[in-house]
Amino acid sequence: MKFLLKRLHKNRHLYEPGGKLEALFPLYEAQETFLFTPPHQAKGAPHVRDGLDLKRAMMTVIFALIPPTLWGIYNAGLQYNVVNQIENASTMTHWIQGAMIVMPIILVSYIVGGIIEVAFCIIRKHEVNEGFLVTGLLFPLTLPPTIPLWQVAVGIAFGILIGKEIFGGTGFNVLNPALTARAFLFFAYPAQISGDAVWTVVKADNVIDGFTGATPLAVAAATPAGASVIDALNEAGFSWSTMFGGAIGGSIAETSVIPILLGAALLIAMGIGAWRIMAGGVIGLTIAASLMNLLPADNFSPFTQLPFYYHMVMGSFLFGIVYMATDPVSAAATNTGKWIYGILIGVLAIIIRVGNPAFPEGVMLAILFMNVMAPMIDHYVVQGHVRKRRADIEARRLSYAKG
Amino acid sequence: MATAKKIISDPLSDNNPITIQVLGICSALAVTVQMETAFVMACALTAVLTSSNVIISLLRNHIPSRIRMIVEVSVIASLVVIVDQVLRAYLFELSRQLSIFVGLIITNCIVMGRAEAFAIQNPPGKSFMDGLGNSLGYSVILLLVASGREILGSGTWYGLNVLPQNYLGNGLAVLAPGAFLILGVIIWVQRTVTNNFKDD
Amino acid sequence: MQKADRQLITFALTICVTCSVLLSAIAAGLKERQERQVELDRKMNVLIAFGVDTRDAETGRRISAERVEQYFSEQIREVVLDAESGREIAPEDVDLVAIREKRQLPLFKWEEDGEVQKYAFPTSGQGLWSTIYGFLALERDLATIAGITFFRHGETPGLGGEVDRSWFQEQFVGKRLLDDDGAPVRFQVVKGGVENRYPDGNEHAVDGISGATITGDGVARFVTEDFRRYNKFFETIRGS
Repeated sequence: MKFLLKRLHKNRHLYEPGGKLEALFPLYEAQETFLFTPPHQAKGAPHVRDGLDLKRAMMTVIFALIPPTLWGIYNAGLQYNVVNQIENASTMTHWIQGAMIVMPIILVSYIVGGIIEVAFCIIRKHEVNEGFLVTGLLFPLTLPPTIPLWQVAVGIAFGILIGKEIFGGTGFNVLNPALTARAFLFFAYPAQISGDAVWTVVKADNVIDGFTGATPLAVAAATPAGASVIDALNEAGFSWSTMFGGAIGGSIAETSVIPILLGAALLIAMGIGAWRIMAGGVIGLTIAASLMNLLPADNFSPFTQLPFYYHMVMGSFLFGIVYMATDPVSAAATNTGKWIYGILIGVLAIIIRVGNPAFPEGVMLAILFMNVMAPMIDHYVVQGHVRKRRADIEARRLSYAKG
Repeated sequence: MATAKKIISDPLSDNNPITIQVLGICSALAVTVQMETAFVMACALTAVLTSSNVIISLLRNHIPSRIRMIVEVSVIASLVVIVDQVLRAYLFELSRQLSIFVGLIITNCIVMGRAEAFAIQNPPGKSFMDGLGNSLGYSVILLLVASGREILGSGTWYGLNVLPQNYLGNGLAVLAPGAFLILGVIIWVQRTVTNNFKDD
Repeated sequence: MQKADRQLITFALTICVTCSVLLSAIAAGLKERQERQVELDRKMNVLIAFGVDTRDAETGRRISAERVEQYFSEQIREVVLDAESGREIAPEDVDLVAIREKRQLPLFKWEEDGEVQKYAFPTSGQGLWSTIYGFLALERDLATIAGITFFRHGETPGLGGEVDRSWFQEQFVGKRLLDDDGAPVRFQVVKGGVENRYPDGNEHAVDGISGATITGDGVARFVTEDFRRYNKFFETIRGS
């Protein structure tokens, strides 16, 4: 490591103002800060809000993403081997097959996103920062394994450009860039990211009779009036425990609960992920789903009758609330604000899921919508504090005057 | 004293009704899925705006100031209805695609805005030029947005295939938010190039 | 009355009168042409349902109004049926509102050498976001679909919006709306593809659009319902 540092510093003068490679300073800076603790101190958002170095925060998120990523790789391979009826498939072949499916998606996301990020850093003369490492991994994990690679490239490009750089780069973005990228693909190329056919890679020459890869959400939404959603789910092979375990088709990292809980535990233990947002989301979901249960079953779709603990393990709710909603830049920053923000995400996610027939999954839209609302929530929370303080001071002055 | 050239060129970029004054956004979103509808809409607005400017400028010394706005609206509304009726009779297919948006030119702030800001106090010649300039400013942006949306959304431009046959249309470009995004990017590029509105 | 007030009123009156006279004149002058256009558009869609190529193969332009009229005068006969009784209604009793509410049912007959070869009728209903409008054409047996067209809708582009694409519409050709006993079937737009649900094929179903289940269900529902409305009349024809 010493050797590396020496080499780096030897060339530093080239990149400093006046040096030959001045324009490429962000590249130098990136090498230095990714590998070592940087010599300078943080000045702007989101450091101020977080009170800790951005680099450490983002690297913790990356670590927290490892369990769901590994699960995603394993599961993609598992689903492939099951659906294509590969004989003698072992755990090892699941891993290898999964890596062949998932790694290209992650790599494309990093390479294309990285090029755009670095290009903007050079033009705008700001530093490459670790936030990109998180975005570049989060985004592919929310995609179906069958996603065409060019769409990954277009999506991450859109997310970085429109979701982040257009506002001025990390710290200024209103929306979570990874979710912006996913929302873009969702609306731009709906056929490749929704429906029944996209969740498991099927060999081109292998037409399987009767295979439909409907996700639990699609099954639930399609349950005919009068039937029970739980029965329909069980019939389709989605018992509660199966969905908890997550060995089913779906977006790469969303299916299993356990790895996401591991990641959440790490984020909370390190003080990186806001536990208030996560808890708020769970509470909001529970309230909304339980209220829906009270609706008369005869007049509304059977989906309204599904208990909250089913909603909790279905679709991308947990992944979204743990990794996406807690993004420090786009989330609410005040403690009260975090509760409100989290609860509303949970509530909205259920409303969109159950109420809107066009969008089987509401979590993405709920988080993006609340991203937009977060500054307003913070504003009113802060205003509330200001008013309270003022009232306190006034009361104290009055009591002095009397005394 | 603004010269004739400046009256026409100013609204094209530095004082563009859409990207700088942010007027007429509604129609810029609604009719820009294809070049064809955008082009007809641009023509319709040009016809209404230039003639309303000229008519109001001709009447400017006779209009009693107390009913000035009402007279302006009557003139604009009549012109819009005429354009709408003509489109319905001669370009039926397009007028159905444009649906209510031709009629909504009445409420397009650009028309009323130019009448109030320019035509009411300038001679007909100049008012004509001002109307033409603003129409062009509007049309240029409309056509740019429509080009972006039609090429990205369907792989065609004015109905002609410009991208390979197997190009997969971008659904977002076809939806109204796509117009917002493209308009936003146009504004971004314009402000970066002209360096106006630079804040530190 | 003050002089200024008089001027004001005179001016306002002049503007009002000028505008209204101008507008009335233009509206009256263009009315006939506009109505012809609406009619032409409707006829064009009927032709598409009957499988007539309405675009010139070489130029790609639409066929002329004269050509459309020629089809209608030579080969197409239009009648309006009463939904209750299934009988033809005299032309003077035809009511556009009743047609919209499906109390009166227009029916187009395609005749060749004096014999009816095909029938077509308008069909419409709720998709996901919007009402979908179309025409459905039947073969001589009044059970086999000869063609379908959806010409107006507001569904999501790329998903439900695919209903106006030829791959979706062409699937309907040759499908049947009556079962083997001659009773109207519940037509199906099958999610995930007909082949997967019915490995032996199904002549009462077409493939759905991926990601647009509700639009597909809507199409299946209103095609079924509208066919049942007309079937009362069709039975009398089949009987004779």
